[in-house]
Amino acid sequence: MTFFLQSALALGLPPAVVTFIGLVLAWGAAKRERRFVSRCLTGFAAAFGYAVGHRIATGALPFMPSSAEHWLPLLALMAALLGILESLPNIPRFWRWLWRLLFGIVAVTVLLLPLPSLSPTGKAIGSVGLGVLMAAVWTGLNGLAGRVTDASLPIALAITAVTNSVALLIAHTATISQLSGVLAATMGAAFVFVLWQRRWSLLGGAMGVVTVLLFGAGINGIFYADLPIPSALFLWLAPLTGWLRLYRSVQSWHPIASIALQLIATTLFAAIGLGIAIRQIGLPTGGY
Amino acid sequence: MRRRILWGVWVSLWALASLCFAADTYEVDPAHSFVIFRCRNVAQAGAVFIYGRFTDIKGNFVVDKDPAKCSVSITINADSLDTGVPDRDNHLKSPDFLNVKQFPSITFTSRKVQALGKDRYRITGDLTLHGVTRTITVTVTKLGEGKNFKGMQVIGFETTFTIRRSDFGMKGLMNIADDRVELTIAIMGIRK
Repeated sequence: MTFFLQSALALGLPPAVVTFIGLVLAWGAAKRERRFVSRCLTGFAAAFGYAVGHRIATGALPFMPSSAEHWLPLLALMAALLGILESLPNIPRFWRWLWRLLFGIVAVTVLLLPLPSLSPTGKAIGSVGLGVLMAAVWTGLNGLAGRVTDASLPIALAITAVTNSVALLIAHTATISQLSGVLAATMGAAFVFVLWQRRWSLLGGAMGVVTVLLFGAGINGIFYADLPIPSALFLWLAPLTGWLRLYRSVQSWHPIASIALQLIATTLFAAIGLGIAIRQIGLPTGGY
Repeated sequence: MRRRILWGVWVSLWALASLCFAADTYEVDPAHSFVIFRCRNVAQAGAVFIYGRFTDIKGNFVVDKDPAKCSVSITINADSLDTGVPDRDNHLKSPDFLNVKQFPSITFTSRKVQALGKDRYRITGDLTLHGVTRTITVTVTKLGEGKNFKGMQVIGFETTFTIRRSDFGMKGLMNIADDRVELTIAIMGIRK
């Protein structure tokens, strides 16, 4: 147990600290009414925090990726750069959809390209299908971040990332599992920041980074390890259950009750995803 | 006439000599060839080595009296890794280590063969592992050659060498498995 705790601390603390510092800088910009700058900074806070954790987990941060998981920090950085566009005011919804869609398809394509066992047609179908899904989840999370302005979304994302991490460990890949753990650490830092400053709405700029990392870990798990597709689907959709809070009947609930509903729904979805992985793969024997 | 006979004898002798001293091509016999590895298990305080093998080996090699004409080419199916514990096998095949879905083959192709003494050779070649190609030099011992019980000409070689997995892009989880991996390759070939 000490071994796992030490590993988790060594892996989780540095990205959390980097993300937290980035968020403090974003908060500083927001205080000076530089809302555009602050929204951009939140994306980079998450991306750089993740990159630090990626370097610790894999021992590398290559600029020329040679395997699928090496793409994750670069994709996070690209999503943070797109966050700049996202933060521009008065951009029509169509354009936002279009670049999210294109980015989703490109991101999945680069993750599937190195796979020799998948035919070009299979890669194309996978890239378009998963790319559309990624764009949809990104849009959903972005919308949620603009409407749910308490600390429940970072907790929901952290719960999802932690469960994803466990599912990936069951799917026989400790490294990708650790990378999902790094994402959980960055969301943990966001949670602490929100508890401190109560400015979650700023973090909408980080949703692209969170989405691409969540999907990136899942796609690595499905195609390069043994993660079942239904398991990944439940885990990807789990944070979107926050939309339940925006139902008219739920909006009249006490805030604590509606937060509880959101977190229970997220945990339930994530647990189903994990359950599918356990059912199909079995629990690890451990100790080898 | 006499000159013609002499010329004919000379050509025949030359052809016979060429046949006798021609390079022999051998095909790796998977049933009698082994690729075994061992790596210290750091997660178990380094108190134990994990031993494993690859069960699917293909390739061929050329043996000639002149070492410069000798060559070897081996392909190992990375997915055939077996350490006796299925969970460990799946983990070693995952992106954490070999990433067999992206890099299904491990190959070695010789570039240069030098004789070191009786039945000992130094082979320099390209080892491609985890998508990374590096030039390595190994010392190979010939274990024996001759006709087997089926009357087929066979020859066998063995080598043991150590690589660093980080040199081949496998830099993660150093707190679980050591960087150094010792490989023993023992191959027997059947003459084609």
